[in-house]
Amino acid sequence: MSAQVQIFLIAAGCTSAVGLAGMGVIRLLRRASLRLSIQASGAVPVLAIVAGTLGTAEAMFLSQHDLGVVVMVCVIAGVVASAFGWLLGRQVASGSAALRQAARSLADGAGQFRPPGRPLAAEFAALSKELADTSAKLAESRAKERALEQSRRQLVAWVSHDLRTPLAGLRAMAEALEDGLAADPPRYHKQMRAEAERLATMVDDLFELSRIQSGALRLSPDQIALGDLVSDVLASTEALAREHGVRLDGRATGQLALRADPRELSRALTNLLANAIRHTPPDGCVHVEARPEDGEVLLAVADGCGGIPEADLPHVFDLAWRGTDARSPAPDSGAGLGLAIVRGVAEAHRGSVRVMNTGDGCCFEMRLPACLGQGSIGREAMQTPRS
Amino acid sequence: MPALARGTVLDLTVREFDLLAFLVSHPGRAFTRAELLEHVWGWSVGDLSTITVYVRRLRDKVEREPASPAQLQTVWGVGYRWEANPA
Repeated sequence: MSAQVQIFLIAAGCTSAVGLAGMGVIRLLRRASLRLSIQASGAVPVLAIVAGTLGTAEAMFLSQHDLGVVVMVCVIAGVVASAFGWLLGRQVASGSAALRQAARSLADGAGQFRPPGRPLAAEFAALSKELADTSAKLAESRAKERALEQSRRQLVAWVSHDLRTPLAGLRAMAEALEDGLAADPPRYHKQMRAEAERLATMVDDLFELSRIQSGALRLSPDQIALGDLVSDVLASTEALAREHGVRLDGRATGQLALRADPRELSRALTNLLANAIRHTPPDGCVHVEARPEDGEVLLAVADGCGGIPEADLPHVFDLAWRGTDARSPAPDSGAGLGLAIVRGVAEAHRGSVRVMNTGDGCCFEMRLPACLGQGSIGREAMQTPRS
Repeated sequence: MPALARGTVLDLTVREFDLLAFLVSHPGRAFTRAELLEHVWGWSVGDLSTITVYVRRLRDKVEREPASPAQLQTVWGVGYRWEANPA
């Protein structure tokens, strides 16, 4: 075996041994501070050189003196490497400490992540940015949560007020009947029934809304001919319109095949119509239109409410929104649940809602995905203006 | 007695049959959904959209062209009626 091969083998063996030992140390330190691992990784190459040199000293025919010099050089290099490792470790540790400090600000009252003021290594900078993004998202969802909580509180206040009013009326009428003080009992009966119905509707709306909000709204989709559904809802809101002296008309044109939950969709359209009728002055007109548009089915309800202030438009479908005159709602205006239910139903059908001001009123639109290729249940132009 | 249309026996559910029988026995008269619910289902209160769905299904089985029904007609804004002698 030539001397060179021998040296190669000895050097490889010695340095590998040190390398393996170093890997073991780093593995042992994997849960310890990063600083220790960095320092170890600086020391391992130097130790490998020392081990290799000592192992091959014989084969290199080094004199004792020369060997001493080489070892000395290696020791000095080792010290420098360790110092370097220590410095690097400190830098890494302080970067991570700064980031930890900054991350702690997330949990503070304000909950806003303040990135460390000093420059960071790329990995830490990336982590810091990630934290900042998360913090922003968190802040946004907190704000949303707060707004929702606020509207929920408002809703509870209104609902309890609105529930109490008919209940008080019912109690007073029942007492009057009980005491035989009612001058016109049949009128009392009729009114009591109306109050009870109002209560039932409100409780029903609340239940529906809680199902929508908790995601427990289970649709039972069916093929629907929207023209008939519009006609049916017009028929059932006719009485309310007459009571308010509002004219109701509607039309349905084109292919209106749709897969939807008939019960929920009827309810949403009824809510839109009832809302329109209540906000339209007597002798005004509410117009419903159903037509296909851009691959969707459009349901539009236009009223003569006189318009909604621009600032309120984005909040119309919010829970417990009652318009600017919120403090003194009309006696039958509901608790601001109707339009929130409309939006919930539309979204459950993967549709959308919006509202815009028109000349003398506003127009509520609900768009639902059309059911293509099911022409058999569409209806051709169906229109009969009603008086 | 099974319901026949154009010489074939219709595959109707009990409610569909009842609804058809009721409408056919009052030709030309329009009924609101509430009336149909009361007369056919026997419910004084209930989910009116049930009727909307049943009418649609019945048309698919009874009408030659369910998209433009000749017999089970929609009376716009009122309800439904049976046209005994379609034009």
